[in-house]
Amino acid sequence: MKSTILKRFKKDRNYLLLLAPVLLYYILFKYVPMFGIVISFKDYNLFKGVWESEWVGLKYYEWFLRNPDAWNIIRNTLLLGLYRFLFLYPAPIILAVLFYLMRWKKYRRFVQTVSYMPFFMSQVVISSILIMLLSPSTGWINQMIQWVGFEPVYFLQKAEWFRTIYIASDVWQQVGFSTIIYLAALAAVDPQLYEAARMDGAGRWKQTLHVTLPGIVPAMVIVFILQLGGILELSFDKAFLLGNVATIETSDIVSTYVYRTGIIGGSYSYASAIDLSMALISLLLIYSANRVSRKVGETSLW
Amino acid sequence: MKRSKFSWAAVTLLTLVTVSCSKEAAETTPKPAGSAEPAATASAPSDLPEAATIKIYTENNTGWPAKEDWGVWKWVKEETNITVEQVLATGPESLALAVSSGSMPDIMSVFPEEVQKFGPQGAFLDLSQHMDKMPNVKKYLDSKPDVKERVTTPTGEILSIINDGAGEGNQAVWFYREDIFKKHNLQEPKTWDELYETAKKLKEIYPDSYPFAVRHGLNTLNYIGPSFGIYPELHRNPEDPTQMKFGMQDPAAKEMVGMLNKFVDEGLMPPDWLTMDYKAWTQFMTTNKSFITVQFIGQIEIMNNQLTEGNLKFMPPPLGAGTKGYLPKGGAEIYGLAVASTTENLDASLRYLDYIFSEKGRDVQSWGKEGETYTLVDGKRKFNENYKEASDLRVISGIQTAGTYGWFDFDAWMALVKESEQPPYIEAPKYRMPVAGDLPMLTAEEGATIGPANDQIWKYWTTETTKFIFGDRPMTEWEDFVKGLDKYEVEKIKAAYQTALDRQIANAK
Amino acid sequence: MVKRGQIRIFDVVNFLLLAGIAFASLFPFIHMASVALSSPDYVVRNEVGLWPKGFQWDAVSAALGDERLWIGYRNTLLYLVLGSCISMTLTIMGAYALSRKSLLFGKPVMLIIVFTIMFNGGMIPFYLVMKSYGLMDTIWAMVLPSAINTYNLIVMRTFFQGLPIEIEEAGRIDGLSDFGLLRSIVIPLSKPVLMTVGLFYAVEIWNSFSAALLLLRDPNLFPLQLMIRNLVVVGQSGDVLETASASGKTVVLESLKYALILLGSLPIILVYPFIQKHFEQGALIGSVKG
Repeated sequence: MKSTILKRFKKDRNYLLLLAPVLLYYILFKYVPMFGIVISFKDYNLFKGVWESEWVGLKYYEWFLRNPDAWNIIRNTLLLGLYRFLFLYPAPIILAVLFYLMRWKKYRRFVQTVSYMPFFMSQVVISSILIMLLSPSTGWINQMIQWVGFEPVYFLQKAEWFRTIYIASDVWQQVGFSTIIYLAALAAVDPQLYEAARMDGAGRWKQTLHVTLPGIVPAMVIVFILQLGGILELSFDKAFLLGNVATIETSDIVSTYVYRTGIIGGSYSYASAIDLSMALISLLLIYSANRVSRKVGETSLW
Repeated sequence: MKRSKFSWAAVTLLTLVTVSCSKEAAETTPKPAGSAEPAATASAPSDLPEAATIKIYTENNTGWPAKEDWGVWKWVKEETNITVEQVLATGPESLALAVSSGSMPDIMSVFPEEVQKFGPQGAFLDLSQHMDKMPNVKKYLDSKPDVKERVTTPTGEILSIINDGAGEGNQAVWFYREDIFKKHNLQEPKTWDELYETAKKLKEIYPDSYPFAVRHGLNTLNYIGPSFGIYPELHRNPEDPTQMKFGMQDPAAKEMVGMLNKFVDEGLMPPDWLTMDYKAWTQFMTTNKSFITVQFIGQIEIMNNQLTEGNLKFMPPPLGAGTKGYLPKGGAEIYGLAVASTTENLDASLRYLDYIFSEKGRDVQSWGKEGETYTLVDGKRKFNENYKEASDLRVISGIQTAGTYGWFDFDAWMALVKESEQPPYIEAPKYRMPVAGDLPMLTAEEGATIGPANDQIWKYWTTETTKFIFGDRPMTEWEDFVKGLDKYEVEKIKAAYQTALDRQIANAK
Repeated sequence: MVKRGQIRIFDVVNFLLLAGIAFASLFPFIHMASVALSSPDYVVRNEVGLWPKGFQWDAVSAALGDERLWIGYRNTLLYLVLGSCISMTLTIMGAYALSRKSLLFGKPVMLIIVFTIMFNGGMIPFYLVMKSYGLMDTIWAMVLPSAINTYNLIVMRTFFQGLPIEIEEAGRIDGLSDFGLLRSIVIPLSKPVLMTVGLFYAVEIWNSFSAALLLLRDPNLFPLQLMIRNLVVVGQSGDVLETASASGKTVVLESLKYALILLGSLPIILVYPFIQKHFEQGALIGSVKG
């Protein structure tokens, strides 16, 4: 037993050598800061530091559970994340295929180049443009709605619109850039496969279905797992800037709540306690995603 | 092949970077030497204390971007031999980061909430221990008992010193389009009912308009509330300042919200007033879309300068409930100065504070120096030609910007306000609510018992009030809403602050 | 590939769909450019749409004359070059090692790595630890903490795993060592994924400001994005519509803001089309596979 490990070590020593700095990176920059989470069990005092602060057990977890709005905040976060995932995950796949099927190459390249541009805009800028566009009194979108003969919609003052606006603008901002990974995968699809499919008499739809899509399945699986894991990582900036007291029923998510009570309220321990709770939910999500994809991945990869 | 191309690109970039680096350095280095040095050496009298350098953390305002060669810092150097390095806030989290890192600038501009937040953690120096080194600060505090009361913590510490003098600009007032009112024979509304009628008439004449516009979203209730005799949240009772009350529990709050509901419902206020920013509000005020507003006093002049025709005029607050319509209690400053508990330049920091709260410091930091910023004409000070309006004092010299003064002489500011724009400054104080909306300081234990309840109740009342205003919940359910406040522990919060207030009053005696 | 032939309905629909996407993507940029080039009167009244009104260069020249823009450019370029090199090196090393199916400790290491996607210590602990490493106010603050993006590492690893085993065996027969295999076979064959991941890193560094926000105090080290963000955030909180530029002229804050944003995103927009063609060069790998 021991000798086999030794043997494998010898065989793999070059690879392990390559791996060592990577592992070091993860320990130094990811794991060491992780232990900071102990402050959620302590009454963290900035000047006493992490170790000197007093232990308070689950006090801050109780605070959160005692909050009558806690469930509403968690629900908002989960729903927003889930809906966002439902739209943001397939959108770039569809767009990538559309790009791929576009025959006029120069046009395709133009649209491609243009479509990733919103990705480089900060959320602050996007939010201020959105507020301008959606205003019921002066915004262009409402002017268009009125021009067609409808009543103006108070987009940013109705709780039921918040998720739609948040997600639509996210899709708009990210869809172009997210196609890159699929386009790279599509470029790697063997042209001979198309040749073979054509020989078998497959039309364009069949080729897309049987050659193009299977070609990007590995990329789809990876993106699926990772995005599902990050489902709760919602941009604080946007929720904060687009939300207001009229939409707080749907727009108050964990990150805005943590900002108010943790950063503005100065309670780092409380903020960390909420963070940890959400991280545990996240963990559960990615674990199940991985199980699902292992099943799906195996069947569809080959 | 790919690799070689990549590294080639990298080398080119690096070269570019180094070139621009060195160019940058070459361009910037002579500047401080050229501007600051000679002035300091030329005018430094020999009896100055030894030279020191301190860092001062201040707000960062795009309207008056901080400059190294601002007069205010030069005068500090001349008077105290202290070189100030200004550290600018980079966002709302700046102070939290500076405090949590322990590497705080020596002196910081802070709000009372920040003192309440970081003070118990030990971020700020207890200045009451050092009053012997700051005779001028002591004199200043003794002459301003209200300021002293506000800065003294439950345990008798003084963690910050709140500025004074420039608060006159921190006053929300009502104003309206005088020319439009005259043209249509409308009178200044004295009550909210009259305001409603007037707005309705204006809406008839200008169907596209929203006669009454505000900004600051729901925070606007802090400015409108006093005309109904309340602030929306916790504050001292104006009738009995020894008691705390929660504004939304007062029957007047129902009147106010009901009124706003009518305004929104009938298109007398812009439907998006909750999300209107400064630019949108400016647009409404300057394009004949809105005629009445509540805003900070300085905005009257700014808007009048923007208006191509017509003019805006101050009006007394309309009466909504009770016997007198109030304006919020302005006139007091909120910003204060604190010294870092970790400072390594204690003496210089205290010296700086003592200077800006001295008579001499007050005068120099407000007016600048004769010949340099103003000349004496018939015994009266007159600012030089390059200061055209009051805000130029900030832009050009840094006068009346956070951290550069302690005790401001507001006459300096008024000297540049047009004569036609001065009446509001005289009128507004007559209508001030007797109490301000600020809260007494809690002990750390009291703060802990409240926990996150403050945020929860804030969320509750703002959400529900918004529903009432926008008609998503009928006003008939108002009593249910008020009862709902109890569920969010309003009495517990009130009791905690009542204890704090009692202590503050007892300590003041 | 798709056969050339007559234009079908699908092509027309596709054309229109993509045109819509192009417009939606370009719209804010056109709007920002119009505002940046319009005179203050129109900007303040919100009358500028897709075309400048009262055309003028004041805001743009004020932005160009703003020292902070150039400091930001210099810093961002430096972080970009240094950061991309470090990130790519580490990611290739890690991905290559972990792409070995039977690597000793491969599974647990992978678990350790994936776990960090889901879990982190939060802002304050991160900040305190980075500070204790002495990263405050150094260029390393901008390149080390985010050196490896786990997402990119997994993408690259998956790609390496997909490389045909035959080539590797052929390489071994030619006497290549583990490192030699990486250098002369794996890397040349992985051009599309290297380009993609490289681009991801470059964009990440280009867009990042939170690390700078936390770890940089010295304005001379601020990257472009932080500078822009400060301007936008600070501009929003004040009662300010206009600002005095370096040249002494008064310009509308919004115009200046947009001019800076546009100038700040120009380089990456100009460079991208040149990178893009590499994504279409992946056919090489396919041919080996077949």
